[in-house]
Amino acid sequence: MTTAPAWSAAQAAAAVPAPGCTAAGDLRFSNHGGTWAYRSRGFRALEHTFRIRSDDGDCGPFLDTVFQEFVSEHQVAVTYSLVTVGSGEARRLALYANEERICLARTESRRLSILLWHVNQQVIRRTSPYNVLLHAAAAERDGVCVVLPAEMESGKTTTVAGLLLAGYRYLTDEAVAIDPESLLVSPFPKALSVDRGSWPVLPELQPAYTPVFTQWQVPPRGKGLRGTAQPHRPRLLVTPRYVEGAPTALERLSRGDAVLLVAQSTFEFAVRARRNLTVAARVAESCDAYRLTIGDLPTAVVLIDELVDDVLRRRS
Amino acid sequence: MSSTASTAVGLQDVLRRGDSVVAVQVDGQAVLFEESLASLSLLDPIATAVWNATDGMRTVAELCDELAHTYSAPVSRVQADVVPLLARLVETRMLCT
Repeated sequence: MTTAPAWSAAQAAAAVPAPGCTAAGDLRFSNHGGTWAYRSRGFRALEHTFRIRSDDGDCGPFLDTVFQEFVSEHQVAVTYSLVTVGSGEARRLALYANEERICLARTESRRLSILLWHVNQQVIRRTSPYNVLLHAAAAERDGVCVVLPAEMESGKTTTVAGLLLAGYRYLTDEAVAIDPESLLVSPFPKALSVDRGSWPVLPELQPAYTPVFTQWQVPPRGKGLRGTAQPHRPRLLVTPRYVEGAPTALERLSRGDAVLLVAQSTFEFAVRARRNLTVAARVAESCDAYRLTIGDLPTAVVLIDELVDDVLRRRS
Repeated sequence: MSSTASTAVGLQDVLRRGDSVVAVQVDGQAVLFEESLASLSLLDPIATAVWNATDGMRTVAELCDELAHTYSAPVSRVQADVVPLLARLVETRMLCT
């Protein structure tokens, strides 16, 4: 018998407070009487709807680029306000979600990284009641949806970036949203958050402007990337783990292990355990599942590509 | 989960599934989630057979007799394997008396 703590990675990701965040509600947004130099369009990322405004216009092009896949005419629930507070040594950069202050940062890099973090958290919180949400990346080729569930820092974003550069269409690098009835994966095409450690293996994705110093934010369109996929049912589960110097190799997982993998990757698994475990079993039954040890990215992409080819051969 | 069960299970006990357990089965393997401990367990095929046979009606001895018959194995051997497994399942609240 194998026992594991449920939803370990997903829960940890959902529960980690943004460093520098204040407790919600302690400071209300009422200190901005000026005009807005930047106002975004409305955005919808799964069930999170938002727009952004700033008293500094410099961040506008970056935010428009990062959230370009989410443009929507939908009425928004959250307005993020980026406001400069104080001057000189006491100057701080505040971020509000509606009236609640989320952070008071010293640098724009920090404020923007917290904004991106907050959007992801809200997507998870607002979408989990309606979809089974996995901590995973995903991409699609020729109708075959590849889901890459893994803990943080395992190489999900790097792997999915490699697939996109090989011609796959993008679904997400963070949260796979599965409809509990149809099992269709809805796209959550956030900009890929490429950590510094992966920059050397993905040089073609370097953005022109990197205001968040620790990560590249790469939209899934342009630079040879084909954009966002339509909803598809998962067909391959591949859990990646980068191990420096290791041979890149696949290991087949049993369907039981696949259920565990999906369950442990589900955000807020315990809150809706019956629904989530049922969906985990249905996903496992409809997928081939593998553990992928990644020593080098090109080989990993070839191995996944071969799995997709195999699915297509069997389908035809 | 500890590999050494400390919960005693006797041959005359009647065990039933825990009230807060959610279970699914794929390819002959059960995956159990116990809500109060928030623990997930994957049972191998034999443990799954034991889980499926635990119906809240039969004693552990009767359950072992049935499994011994099904698997053509000596009852003593089945009891030696099954009783510790049941103890672990009780310990993790997957089963209760």
